Amino acid sequence: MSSSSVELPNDAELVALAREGDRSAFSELLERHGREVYGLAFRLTHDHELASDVAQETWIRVWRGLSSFRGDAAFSTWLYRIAVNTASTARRRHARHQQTALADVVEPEDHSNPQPEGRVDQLELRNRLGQALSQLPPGLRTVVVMKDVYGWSHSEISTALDISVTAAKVRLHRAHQRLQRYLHEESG
Amino acid sequence: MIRCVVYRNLLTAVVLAGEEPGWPLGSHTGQCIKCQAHVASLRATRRRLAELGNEQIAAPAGFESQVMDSLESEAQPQVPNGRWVRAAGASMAAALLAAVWMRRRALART
Repeated sequence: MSSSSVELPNDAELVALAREGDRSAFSELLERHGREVYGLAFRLTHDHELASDVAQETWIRVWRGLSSFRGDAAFSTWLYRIAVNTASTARRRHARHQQTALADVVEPEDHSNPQPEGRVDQLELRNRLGQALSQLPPGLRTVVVMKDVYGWSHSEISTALDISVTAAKVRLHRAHQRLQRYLHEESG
Repeated sequence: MIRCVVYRNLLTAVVLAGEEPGWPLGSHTGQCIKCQAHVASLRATRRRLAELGNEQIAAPAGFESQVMDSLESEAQPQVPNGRWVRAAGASMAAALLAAVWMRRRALART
């Protein structure tokens, strides 16, 4: 085993450098978290074009707000919170909302091998779930994505959306009921 | 039948919230095959939602350089804390000077 491992700076160190105006440090943060931010933006908007705008604006807001980041929470938590807020603003700003089925955007499947039955069921559920998620009103979809897809706590959701923890729970409950209804309708 | 409809709504809330159905939901589900199927479907939905978070959604090609390009026109991150501290310090100094001047003026009059 080689002992020539180079220790990469952690997020906090990169943030400290970026605050001083080091664009290469910021570029490294972008490299590390860019995909996740884009993925989150897409899941919140269900629109590639809008997701791209949201992700880009998120990073610009991050750059502008670096000095206000105190490091109380992880950089990624702060970053995702900005992404959620940016998506929320962007959705309101854009009247049009071109919905894309989730099945159209996930990685292409390999059809060269026959798929076991369980896999087919999984794919079917994924497609139905994608449809059901895209049918949810944006406010309800946001809490489902934050809680069920990304595993945020009720408290983190309440902070990000500037609502009470109880309101976050109620919204999630409504979203679950509606999601289940859509899934049930689709399955006949 | 009516009970099942009620139970299923409750099961949806409980299972999608990641909890195990307690009494009386659990005991009903133990005896009702349709509600068992409902719970199984809810658990699959919950698993699938969690898996979505691990799926990568590819950003458009060149996205990162596009972001960095857009930052070119942006100034260096501002440091409002220092600015506020300086502004607050200047205000306090001005207030102190004014107080001293007024005190001296009052003393000179007497």
